[in-house]
Amino acid sequence: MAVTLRLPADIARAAGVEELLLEAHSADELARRAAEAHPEIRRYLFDSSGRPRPSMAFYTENRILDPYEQLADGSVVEITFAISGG
Amino acid sequence: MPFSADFLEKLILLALSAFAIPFVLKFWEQQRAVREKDRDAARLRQDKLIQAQTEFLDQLTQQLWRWRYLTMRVTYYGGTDVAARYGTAREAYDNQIWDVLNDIRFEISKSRRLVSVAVHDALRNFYNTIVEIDRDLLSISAEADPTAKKLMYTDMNHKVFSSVSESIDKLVETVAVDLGLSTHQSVP
Repeated sequence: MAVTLRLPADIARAAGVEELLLEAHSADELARRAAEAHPEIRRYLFDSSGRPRPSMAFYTENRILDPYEQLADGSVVEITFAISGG
Repeated sequence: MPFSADFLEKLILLALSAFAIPFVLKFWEQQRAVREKDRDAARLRQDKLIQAQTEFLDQLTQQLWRWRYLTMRVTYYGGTDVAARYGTAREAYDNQIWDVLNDIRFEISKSRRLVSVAVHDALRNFYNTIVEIDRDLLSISAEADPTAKKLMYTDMNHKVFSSVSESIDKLVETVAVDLGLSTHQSVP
C-alpha cells in the first residue's frame, strides 16, 4: 500500500521533508519505514528500547488509528504527540 | 449460759448482713469501676489511633498529589514550546522536590506503626517509583537535542497522567482499606 505520512513540524524539520510516501500496511509499519528512510528521525519516533513512543498517535481522516490497523491504499496518516494537562 | 443453735444462726446472719454483704457489694462495685476505667482507656486509645490513621491518610494523599502535580507541570510545559512556562515549572520543581520527597518519605516511615507490612512495602515501592521518575526528569532536562527533549517530556507526561495517577488512586485506596477507613471491603 502506498501511504502518505505527514510529520509534525519538529520532526519534519529534522527530516527535511513534511511528508513521506511509503509502502506500509499499518501505522506501526509506516513509522518503522519512515525511520528506515530517515534514520535521523528514528529517535523521535521510537524510544531507547526501540518501542514506538507511548505519547505518539496516528490520525487519519480525523480519527485515531490503531497502530496495527490495516491501511487503505492512498491513505494519508498524520503523526501527533498527545500531551495532557491537569 | 449456753447459746441455743437458733440464736447462733441468727447471730451469724446478722453479722453477714452487717459486714460481709456490704463488703462483697463494695468489692463488686470496685471491680466494675476498674473494668469501666479499662474500657474507657481502651476506647480512648482506639479513638486516638483512628484519628492518627485518618490524619496519616489525608497527609499521604495530599503529599502524593502535590508531587504528582509538581511533576506533571514540568512534563506538560516541557512537552510544549512555551519555554518561559517550562522554566517556571522546572524552577518550582527544583525548589520544592526535596521538601516534597522528605514529606512523602516521612509519611511512609510513620505508616510503619499504622498499616500492615504488605501495605508499608507497597508504599516504599511507590516511593522508589517517585525517585526513578525524578531521576528520569533530571536525565530529560540534560538532553541536548530540543526535539528529543520535548518528545521525552511528552512521553513522561503520558506516563504521569495515566499510569502514575492511577497508581496513586489505587495506593491511597489500598491504604484506606488496610486502615478500615474505606467503604470498600477490598481493593478492586
